[in-house]
Amino acid sequence: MDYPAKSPLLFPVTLKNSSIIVLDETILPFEEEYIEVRDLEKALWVLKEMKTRSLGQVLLFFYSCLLFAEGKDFNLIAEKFKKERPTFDFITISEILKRINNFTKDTRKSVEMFVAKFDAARKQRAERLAEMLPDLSKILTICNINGELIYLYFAMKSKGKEVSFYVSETRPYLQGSRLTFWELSREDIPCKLICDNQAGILMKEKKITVIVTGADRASKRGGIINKTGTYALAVLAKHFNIPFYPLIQYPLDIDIESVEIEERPEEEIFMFLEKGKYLCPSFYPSFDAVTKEYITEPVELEMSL
Amino acid sequence: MNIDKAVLIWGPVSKEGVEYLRFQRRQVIICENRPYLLGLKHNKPLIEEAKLRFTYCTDNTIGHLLYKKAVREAVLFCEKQDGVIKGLSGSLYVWLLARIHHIPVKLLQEGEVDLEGFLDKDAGTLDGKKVVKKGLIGHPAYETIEG
Repeated sequence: MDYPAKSPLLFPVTLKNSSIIVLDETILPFEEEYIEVRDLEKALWVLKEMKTRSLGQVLLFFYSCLLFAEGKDFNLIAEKFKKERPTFDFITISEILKRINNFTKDTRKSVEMFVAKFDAARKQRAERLAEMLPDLSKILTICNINGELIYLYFAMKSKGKEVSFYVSETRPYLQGSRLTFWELSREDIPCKLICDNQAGILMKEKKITVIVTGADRASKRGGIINKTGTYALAVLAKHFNIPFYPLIQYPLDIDIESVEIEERPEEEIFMFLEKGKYLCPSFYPSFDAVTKEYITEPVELEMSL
Repeated sequence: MNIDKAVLIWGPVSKEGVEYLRFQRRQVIICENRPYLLGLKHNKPLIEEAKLRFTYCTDNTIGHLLYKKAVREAVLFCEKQDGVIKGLSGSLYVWLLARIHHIPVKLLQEGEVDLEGFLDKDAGTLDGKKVVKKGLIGHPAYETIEG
């Protein structure tokens, strides 16, 4: 099917000649600016400062391998990326790129192939999820899934199903408010923004019928790692018999509880506040783990490379 | 994570509540309490003044803290009337998450606070600054938890 939406978050990182162009997600929705990356040091800075995340960091990694990997040593770049964002599995992403390279013998072709296939696969996943969800679904989501909810919306509409969204603001970075709510609103897709702590009362009042989130890591044994706050949603959803569907990719045979949870600098909690005014002892884990008993069904990206 | 067997607080802390926390001799977890940022603007100054050891966190971290068994008790500052508990936004979220994790919830009378004086009334602003361009926001600021 045709998807009319063109959210810049669908491809937040692109390649232009010998530069990587990164959408600065930290200043959306009021400013739409792009950062030009011409060396690995800048790429690592962009990653560390969370100028991009999720799919953006995968694309940043691939394009960095294409432009900055000496002797095609992708694992070395993966190690450097992992140092900046330890929870994300850059080593597996590196192995995927190597595998495609074995076939194409050309890193540029490999990256282009990955991007095209990835987009096709997430459209197919949106179709599958649209098939699974009933008419009049009221979906709660957290953080941002790079435009995939827009695909889901149009897939459901094409099947004659109505759908609306509740977006959890996702403190402290506000990916829910600044990214998801923004990209849905600009397409006039029905959505409401809520505080993270309001999920409980909305589930109790049956205003939410399903939870759909992304997943930064997934285990073949069950369980995911995703943005902080996902675990609470999953637990509450189970309590209220609401299905919880995480969108996963590349599940590995790992114990989800053994994955290192990145703790971000405490001042980041105050990033949209006056830091100096409020700074105090704080705790900000970037992610949390959701074990398999809370997951109704992981919706996997089916992508053959 | 430098949090262990802490007391998590939710809602506007009262002076009696500060005394209760002092008596516990435990680290206090101050949650942000969106939308008002009541944790930051009302609770934190009171806890600091009482010189209690504390850690500040966003509301969505509560699940992770409970999962990691870092919380010993949750204290909900709320209104109780005729068996009905009425608390600020998020009270049910905290109450349910604590109970599901078998953590006791202590109910204490909420402190007096003038919510009109707070800059944020819903998820559309943070510390008075708009965080969204357009769209429908939120949910009532108060929640009822049936006793």
